[in-house]
Amino acid sequence: MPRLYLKRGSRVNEKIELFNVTKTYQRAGSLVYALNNISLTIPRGQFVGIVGMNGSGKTTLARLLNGLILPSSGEVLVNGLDTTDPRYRKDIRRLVGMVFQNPDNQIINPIVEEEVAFAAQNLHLSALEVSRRVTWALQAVGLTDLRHHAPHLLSGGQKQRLAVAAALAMCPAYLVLDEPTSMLDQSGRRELIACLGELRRDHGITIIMITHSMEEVAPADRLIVLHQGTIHLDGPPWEVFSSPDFEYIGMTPPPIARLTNILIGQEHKINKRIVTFEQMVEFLCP
Amino acid sequence: MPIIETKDLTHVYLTGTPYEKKALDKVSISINQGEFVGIIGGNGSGKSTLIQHFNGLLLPTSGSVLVGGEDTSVKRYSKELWKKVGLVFQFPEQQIFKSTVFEEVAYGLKNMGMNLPEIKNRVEETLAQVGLNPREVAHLSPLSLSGGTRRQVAIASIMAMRPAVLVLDEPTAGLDPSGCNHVIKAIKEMQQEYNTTVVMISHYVSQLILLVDKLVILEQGRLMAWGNKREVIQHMNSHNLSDLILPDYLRLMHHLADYGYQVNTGIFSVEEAAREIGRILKESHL
Repeated sequence: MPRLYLKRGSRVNEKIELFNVTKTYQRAGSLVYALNNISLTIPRGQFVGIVGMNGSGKTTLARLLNGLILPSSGEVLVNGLDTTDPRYRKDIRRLVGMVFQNPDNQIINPIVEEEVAFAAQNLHLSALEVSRRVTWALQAVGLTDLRHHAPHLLSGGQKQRLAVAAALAMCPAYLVLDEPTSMLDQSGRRELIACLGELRRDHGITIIMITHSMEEVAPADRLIVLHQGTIHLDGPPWEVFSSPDFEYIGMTPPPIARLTNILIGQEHKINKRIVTFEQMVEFLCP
Repeated sequence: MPIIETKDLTHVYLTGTPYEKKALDKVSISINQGEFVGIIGGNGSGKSTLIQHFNGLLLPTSGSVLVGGEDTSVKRYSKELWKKVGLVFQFPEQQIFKSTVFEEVAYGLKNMGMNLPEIKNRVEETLAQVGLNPREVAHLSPLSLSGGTRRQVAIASIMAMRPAVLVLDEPTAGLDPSGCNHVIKAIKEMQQEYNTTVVMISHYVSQLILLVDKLVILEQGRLMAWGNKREVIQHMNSHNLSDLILPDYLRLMHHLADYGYQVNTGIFSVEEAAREIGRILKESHL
C-alpha cells in the first residue's frame, strides 16, 4: 500500500474529511453554488452511496475527493492530507481511485492487462511489483481469464470492471465511482455491484458510489442525498428511503423499500430495515 | 397492415472473418400503427442491431424487413425511410452539431423542405412538447445546457419531423428522475396525440413495462418472447436468464411462486406486488 502521511493527530488518520466545503462556478456571468458549505466524514471501509438529482452537486463532490477539482473555500482532507497542497497531490491521487461513467472514455490500451498495468507503471514500481498488482487487480474483479483480450471486445460490464481493475492497481484506499453503471444492462450492473461488495469485504476498500439507481445503493452502509448543493439526508439506506423528505425532493425509493413502506403503512408486521431483494427473500422464505 | 414487419430477420456482422458474429437470428415480429413496443435484453442481445433495421441503416443478411409494407432493401423506398422512421440513438446529445437549439431542431425540417414560418411553429411546438420553454432555450447554444436538457433537445429534433415511427435507444439512460419523467412524458404524449408507433429500448424494465403495450425480449440475437406485455411477463420464469433483466419486485414474485406461495406473477407495479405480499403475510401469519 502507498505511504501515508500524518497531519492531524499522531496516528494514521484513515478517513476522508470535508470541512465547510463550498464550490462555486461562474455561469453566464453569475455565481453558481455547486456545493454549499458541506461537512462530511467518510471513514475507511464504508460503502457509501451518493444520490441526488442532476445538478445537485454529486459529480462536483466526487471530483473534490481526489483533488481533481479544489474547493472554492473549506478543506478536503484525505487521510489528513489537504487536497490543495501540491506536495500531496500524487499521494492523494494514489489513495483515491476514480472510475467514470463511460469506460470507453478511460480505456486507452490495446490489451486488458496493459490497461491495468499502465497506471501502476507510472508509479515507477519494479516490473515484478507491477505484474503482481495486475494479477491481483484482475483477480479481484474476476477478469483473470480475459487478461490477454482486447478491451473493445469485452461486454459493457466487463469493460467497467476493467476500469475498476486499472484503478485498483494503484492500491487505493478509496474508490470513487461516478455513475459507473449507467451504460450497463441489469446483469452488468449486478455483476459490478457484487464485485464492489467483495472489494470492500475482502480488501477493506472504501466504496463511494454516485448513481441514479436506488437498487444499487440499497445494500450500502450509508446513503447521502444531495439536494441543491447541500446534504439533504445522510443515514442508513432504510432510514433514508422511509423518510418523507426523500420523496419530497422527487426521489423514489427502490422497489423493495417501497414494498416495505407500503406494507408497514398497512400495519403488516415486517422488518422496516428490509430494502434489498435478498433481505425480502430471507424474510418471506425463511 | 402492420407498420413494421420483420420476417426471419438475420444479421451477421463481419461475415467470413474470425470475428463473425450472428447478432440477430431469425427474428420475426410485426408492429401495428400506434403501438408502444418495448425491447429488452442484455448487452449484446441484438437490441440496437434490430432497431437499426427499422430505418434501413442496416440491411438484413437474410430475411426481410417491411416498413409500411415496403421492403427496406429496395433502394427506391429506403431513400424516403428517414422521414417515416425517426431514430434516436443512445446518448443523442453527443450528436448535436448546430450552434443554437433552434437550428438543431430545425435541421431535419429544412431537409424535408418546410418553409421558415412552418419550421418556426413546429420547432416551438416540439420544444414545448418535450418540456422546454421555447422562448428561454431556442436561442441558446446547446453546449450551455445541462446533459438532461440537451437530451430533450436531441429528442425534439427527431420528434419535430413527426415520423410515423419513433425508435429510441435508451432515451433515459444517465438522466435523473425528473429528466426521465420529461422525456417519457413527451414520448407518451406524441404516441397518443399523433398515433405514432413507438419502439423503445430500455434497461429500466420497471419503467418500461408500465409504458408499453407489447414486449420484445431478445437474448443473444434470438427472440425469447414477443407479444402482449402481460402474457410475456407472466410466462417468464425465474430459472431462465430473463430473470436477470426483471426489476426486483417481479423477481420477488417469481421467487415466491417457486417457493410455493400462490402469487400472481403477471403484475406491473410495486403496488400490485404489495397487495400480493400483504395477502401472503395475512395467510401465513408471518
